[in-house]
Amino acid sequence: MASSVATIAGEARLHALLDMEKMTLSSKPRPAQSATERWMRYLGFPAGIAAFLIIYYLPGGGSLGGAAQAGAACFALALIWWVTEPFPTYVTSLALMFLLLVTRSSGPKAILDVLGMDVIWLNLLAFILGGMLVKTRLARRMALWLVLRFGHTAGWALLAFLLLQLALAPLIPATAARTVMTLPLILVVAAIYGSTEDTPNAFGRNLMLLNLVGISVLSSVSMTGSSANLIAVGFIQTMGDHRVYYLDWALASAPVAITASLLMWAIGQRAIFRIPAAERTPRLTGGLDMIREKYREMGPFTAGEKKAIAIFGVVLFLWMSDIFHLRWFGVEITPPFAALIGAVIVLFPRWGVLQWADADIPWHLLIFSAGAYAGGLALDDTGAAEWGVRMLFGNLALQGLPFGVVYTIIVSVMMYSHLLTTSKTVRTMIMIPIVITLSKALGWDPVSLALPAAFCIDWVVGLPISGKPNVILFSTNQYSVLDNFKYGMVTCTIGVVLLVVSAATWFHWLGLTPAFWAVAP
Amino acid sequence: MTGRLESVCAAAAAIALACLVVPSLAPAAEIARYDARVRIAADGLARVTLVLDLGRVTPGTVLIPIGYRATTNLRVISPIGVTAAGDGSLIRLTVPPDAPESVRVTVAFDVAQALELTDPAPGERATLPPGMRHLRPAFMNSQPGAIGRFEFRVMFPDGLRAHALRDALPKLRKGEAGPRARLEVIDGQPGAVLFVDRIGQGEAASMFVELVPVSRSLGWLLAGLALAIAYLVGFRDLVRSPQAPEPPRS
Repeated sequence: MASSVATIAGEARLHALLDMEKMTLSSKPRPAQSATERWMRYLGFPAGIAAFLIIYYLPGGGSLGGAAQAGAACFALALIWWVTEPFPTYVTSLALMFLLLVTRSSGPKAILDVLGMDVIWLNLLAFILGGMLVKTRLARRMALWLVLRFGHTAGWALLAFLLLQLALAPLIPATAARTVMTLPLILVVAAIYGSTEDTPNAFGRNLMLLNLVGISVLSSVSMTGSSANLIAVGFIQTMGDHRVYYLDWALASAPVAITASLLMWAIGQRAIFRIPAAERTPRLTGGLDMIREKYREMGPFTAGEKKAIAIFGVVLFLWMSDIFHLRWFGVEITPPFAALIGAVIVLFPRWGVLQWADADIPWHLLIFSAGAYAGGLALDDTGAAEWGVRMLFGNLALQGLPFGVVYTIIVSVMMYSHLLTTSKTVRTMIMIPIVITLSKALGWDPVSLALPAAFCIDWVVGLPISGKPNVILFSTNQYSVLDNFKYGMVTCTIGVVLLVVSAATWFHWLGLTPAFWAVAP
Repeated sequence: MTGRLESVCAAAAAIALACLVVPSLAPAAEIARYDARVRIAADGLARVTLVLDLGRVTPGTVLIPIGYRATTNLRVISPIGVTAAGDGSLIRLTVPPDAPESVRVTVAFDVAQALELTDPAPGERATLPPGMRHLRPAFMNSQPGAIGRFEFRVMFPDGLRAHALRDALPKLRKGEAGPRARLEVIDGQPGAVLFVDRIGQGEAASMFVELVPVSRSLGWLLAGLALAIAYLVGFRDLVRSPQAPEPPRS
């Protein structure tokens, strides 16, 4: 009796979600799901403080500044609190911002300015554009179509999203823009499969995190996938005297990125967040027939939907045509500003489709993002991240080791170092010159180590603060920091394994790397 | 007649002036490498050692910019024959006629108050924590020739450590890999290094380091422990096993 009441309530919630006129992401703390999680929350708070105190009081001096040491201590505390969640993530962010100030790791301006960063603006505007897609029911129509066409089972629905991200990657270089564009669709499809903010399930976790992998990792398919890739190519050319062509990059990196994404599609639903049989089909009463019926009920496109398509088309066009902006407008309209003009039209009286009250802006998530970025920037600005990398490479005796061993170490460091920074660009500017200098010192062609290291730039999937798409997707509240870490680490490990195997085979055949066990002359 | 005499005098004066100016514009050597090592004592006194690799040396005077306004105890360590004299923010090196074309000159001098005190004057509001010192070495190449490789190493006084290296100039040029300056252990002493590949005439190089006492306050430790204990006590219900429902009363 009780279970049937729960089922009816759940279905009512699903129908309500499909009929929703605005996206609402509540700021309620996520309740602990198990005894382990309760213990993690209980012990996470003192563990965070312990980490802070240990790092803060370590003997300093030398090449590590006091601000860098304090910044690293604050970041470690916040990281433990974000993962164990003794209190909501946005409260941790606020605490982190305060700690950064009182330890003099960052100044008040640097801390408060993060709320004006492009990722925060893009997040905010994403909810306005997403609200438009939901209010006009365009997101619902697209999601129902997608499920009817590809989503007979959870596996195919997940694969459809992966292919969508693969198709979008070369068209829209800005990863945050891709996330914003697909977020409403992701939310509605998750709801169709029973995963909502209140009742997250394995399908939802797989869907969110596979999209994160699709958006981030597939950016490394081409060298124009992100601006950080181009910076790395620039370093390889100027410092390593080797020009990397578009095809060089694509031929080497695309197979690795695509294979890793497909492996995560397969492993995620079977091993990391195993989707039970009951969740493998749409969770609406009546199944696919019901979805077909709902789709038919929607009838032809309404005027609102057509407006939404037109507005989104304008924004999408601006995102895709950024290389021509200077010629056309005399200024580059960056992704946040393209979304901003979209929001202006969306909210325009009479002609628009949304009122401000309909766009539910989740400020708690923006605060979380701001704190996370303030912490990451403190690590970068104080030199803590760079110090960590230098210490790591400085303490490794790589001289005389076979190429494959050096390669594996460098690729691993590059892959996992994203956990310490929030900016791909900063990480690239720190790491790639070091790798090039190190390659020369060890007697290897710089491109043989620096280019594979550059292939790792976009694999920023370990934490919700590791990149802009991470922040935006985490805002759905359908997975925890720990879920993200688990999924991200598996992805990165698969990436390292694939890159190492490629170095011994594919990269060597392409002439990019020497023989795997070769020793430097 | 008077006019002609005036024009002859003017021409002679111009030639004499040219004779004076032209040699002074052409430096007697070019500075291929400029390596400064500064050890600062707790009282702010800086002992500076300059190692200069001079190329295309011709006998005469070489003016070396030093980045400090006044020096004391100036002396040439090597080679024998070169002499030095302080001239405000410059050192005037005199190279003997028999000097080789390339020569390494080592000069040492002292500078008073190389550290900026940040303690407020009586009645002034403090803007920085007590005990903080600022170190802002700034160098400008005021001479006609460019300086090749410039390295400026500064060792901090005992009892102080760098809190942050806030700024370093010039900004990285295109294709140049950073950082421009970094904290480093120099001869077993914590310090900072500033590197610039080439400093042209009129170009400057500088860095700004905040120094704080090495010992950390125990305030964070006490506050952290108090908070952790308070949380473990106040939130122990988080892990308390759910109580079994009370048996129905008969």
